[in-house]
Amino acid sequence: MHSDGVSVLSQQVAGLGIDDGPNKPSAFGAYEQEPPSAPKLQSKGVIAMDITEQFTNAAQKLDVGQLIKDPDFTLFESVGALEIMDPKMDSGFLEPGETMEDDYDFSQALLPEEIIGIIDQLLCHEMAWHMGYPLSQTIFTSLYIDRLLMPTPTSLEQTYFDKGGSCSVDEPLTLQVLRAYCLGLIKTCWFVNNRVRSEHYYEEEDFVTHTYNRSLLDRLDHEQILKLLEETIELLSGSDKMLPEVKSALSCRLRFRAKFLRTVEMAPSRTTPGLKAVWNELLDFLPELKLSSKLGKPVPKSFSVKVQRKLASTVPPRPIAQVSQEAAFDHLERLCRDASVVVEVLEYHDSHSLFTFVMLFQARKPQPSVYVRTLLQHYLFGDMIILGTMSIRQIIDEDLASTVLPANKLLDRGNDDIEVPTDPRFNMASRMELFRSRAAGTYLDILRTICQNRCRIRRTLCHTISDWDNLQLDAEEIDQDLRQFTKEEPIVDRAISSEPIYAFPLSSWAYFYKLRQMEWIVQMGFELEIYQPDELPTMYWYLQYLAKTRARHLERIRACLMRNVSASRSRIRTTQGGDEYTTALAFNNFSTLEAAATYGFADALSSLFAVLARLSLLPVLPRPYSDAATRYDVRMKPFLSISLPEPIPPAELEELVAQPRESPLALLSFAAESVAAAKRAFEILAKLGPAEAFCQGYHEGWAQNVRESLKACIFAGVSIAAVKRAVEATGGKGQIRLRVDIPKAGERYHDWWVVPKVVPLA
Amino acid sequence: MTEEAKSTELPSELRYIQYEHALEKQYLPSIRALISKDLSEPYSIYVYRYFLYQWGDLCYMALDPKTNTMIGVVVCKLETHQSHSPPTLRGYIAMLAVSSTHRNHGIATTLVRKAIDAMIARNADEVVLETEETNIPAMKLYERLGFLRSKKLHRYYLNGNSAYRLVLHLKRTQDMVGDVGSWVR
Repeated sequence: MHSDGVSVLSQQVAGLGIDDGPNKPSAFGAYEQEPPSAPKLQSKGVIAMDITEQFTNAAQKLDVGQLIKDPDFTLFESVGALEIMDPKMDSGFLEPGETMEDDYDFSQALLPEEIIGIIDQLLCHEMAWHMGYPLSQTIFTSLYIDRLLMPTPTSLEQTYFDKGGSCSVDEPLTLQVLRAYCLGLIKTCWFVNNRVRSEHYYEEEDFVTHTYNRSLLDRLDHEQILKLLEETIELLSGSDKMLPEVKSALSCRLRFRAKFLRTVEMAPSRTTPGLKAVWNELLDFLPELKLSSKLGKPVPKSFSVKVQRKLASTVPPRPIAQVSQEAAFDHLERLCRDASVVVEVLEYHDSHSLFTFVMLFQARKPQPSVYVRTLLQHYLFGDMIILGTMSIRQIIDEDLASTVLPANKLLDRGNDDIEVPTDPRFNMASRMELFRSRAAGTYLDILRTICQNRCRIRRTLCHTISDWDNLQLDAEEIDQDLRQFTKEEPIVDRAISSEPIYAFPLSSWAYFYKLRQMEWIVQMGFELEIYQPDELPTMYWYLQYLAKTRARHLERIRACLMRNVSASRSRIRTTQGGDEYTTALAFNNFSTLEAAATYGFADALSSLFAVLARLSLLPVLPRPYSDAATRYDVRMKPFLSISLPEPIPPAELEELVAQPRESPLALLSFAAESVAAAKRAFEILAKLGPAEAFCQGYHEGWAQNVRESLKACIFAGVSIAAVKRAVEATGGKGQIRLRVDIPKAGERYHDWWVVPKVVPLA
Repeated sequence: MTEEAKSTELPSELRYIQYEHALEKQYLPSIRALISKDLSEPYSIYVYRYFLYQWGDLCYMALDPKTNTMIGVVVCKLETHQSHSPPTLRGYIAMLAVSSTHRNHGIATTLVRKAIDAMIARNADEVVLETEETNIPAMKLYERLGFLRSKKLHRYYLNGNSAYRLVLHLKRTQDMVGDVGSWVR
């Protein structure tokens, strides 16, 4: 790219000349004299007529480059426009001497080593497809696959590569191995494609399900294909014409394919026991596949970029995707491992643990692949039955009970049986049903959102927090309405407020989740490197503000829970009621501790970065076209429409972040105290068991996440101390001798914690 | 930036000119050539005309004054944008290219500044664009001018790379009007 200079450019320019003379050949020059006859349209009410002449006349009245455009014709559509006879855009364009199709002899015998080579290349293509490349640039570039799929076979008898001879008797064993493998491969893709397509994903961005009008063997039953694979394995074992290691490499590949096909067929089941073992057994094939891969002999001629011309697609052939054998095996290995972990989500413990599982599973680096993520979505939401066993109501009620309404009469199932409209229980049931119908979608959307790719999670949360803001307002009305039936006694405490304090349980619940998501938006901003270095003091300040607001909110919930102990005494005495109370208090404790770790660390980093900014140790950009206020509008946009917590006006925020009245040393002392408090909180968190930390089913991953945060926290303590020493050394005079490095995502102890590396300069 | 690039002498004074439709025959081929060098898939002539015919005055070109060779170009649009929030008059920087032998001399910055100035003169509320996450020089250029990253777009480009959306507000949100206002009248 870089080597061509202006001289090369000018040559290219010559080829792009725009002719405007009337000497241009006529539109149908290629047809010599007569334009082709009008197509025969057989559609009611449509009469085809030739408008060539009118069109040509009208077109001649235009200047070259003049545009007549429908106002609704968008940029997106204009980008889809193609130029005929441009080899990069016109899929039918052939270079001189080039043929439309490949000339490949399907009857030729192949060496067993070549079969290994083709099979391993196909595995690279299959994994490339899993990574996001289209079938057209991967599996479909194989001439053998093309041969299998076109014309669409309706029985195994129609799948022989050599369509000439009397197939079944003549087919060499090597070709039968390849054919059985290819059939298994395509059917595996069929299961994967159907799974991805039935869930929420972004076509092209995450995955390409497009099959270009080819059927992925939908008409052949997978049992038939499995049977062929088994028969071929049998036949192969009886052959004495191959080297033993080559034979066993081929056999391993066939058995692997049969296993993969069976696995993706079973994977969507939420009731089959032993799915984890199935994925692990698939994983067990990898060492032998890897080891025997070197026996393979590539057959590059059996793959062609040209096959794409035969596909139902408007784009011209694109290069064949290049994924190395090693990268393909790595991807497959991760896919099996992630899939074997994701099935554990089916064992339900409690709603908070479920959220932790999904959140942390999705944060694995690299992120689990799209197929595994769609399996997770299916396990969670398939047929609107949560994890295959629970109703949406069950999970919402449990979440409400463990957050704000333990052992509460509002969640009493018995209320549903009351039919007397004047009975308070009848009214509580109907109001709660109203609330559930309002909240269910929004609540489940959190889970669905965190199943998406990392970029989409943050983008979607930026939009959905306003749904939570509205839900909170609606819930407030329902809360008030419910009071006439619950006869809730308010807390009257002049020391806190002159007004009586009501619990507002439903809106409290909504507020809690809204705050969590606002925190995630900021935290994922660090992970995705959305913020520039000089924005870090403000963004960490905002994170501590949100986490502190959550901690205060949890305190309020706790006060109301304690208050309710007397009102719900009879319910708490039952075993279930007692458990619910214990759980709700435990969750309140846990979330409060987690919030304390977050705001302590965020406070420390905000102060540290504020000092670095004041000492001119963060890069400052000239930014002639924006000022603090316009940048504030861009950065805070997702939060500005939120009613609670109220947005902080830009000038006030700037002062709160920069703390101009505090000396650098005072700010650093405060940072050191905050980071020490955060460290203590992370240390306590690290010791919690799965039930106490609400991470049942994912404790190991959760504990690792805490350990990484703790490491980041310790490292921050070191950086704060280093800056402090440097400031003290100058005694307030002269230039600070420090270099500050901001680590990129992936190079930090934890991607949510940007801890600067401070290096003293000589 | 290549070694070769550093050795190239920059003409003392580049000529910056605003595009207009009458210049199509003279300059469109070089605009296309310059821009398609950085693209894996070419844009059809229609895409260029889509922008240049409608917003030619938001296109600026940098030319060598002696040879009239095209060294850099910026192509933009400006229209009312409506989605989740109230409408804004949104400028969009669609294409920016500088010949590889002339990079690192502030030519791209000058071109972008001219385009933004023209948008401001037409009462634009904001300017947005996307840039490849690996294109550090482009990101630095825009961020130095005052753009912020607003979101990351997963696998936005055909090569599988992600992009950042960069946003510049030219006014406070409450002052945005969403149309050209008095500029037309």
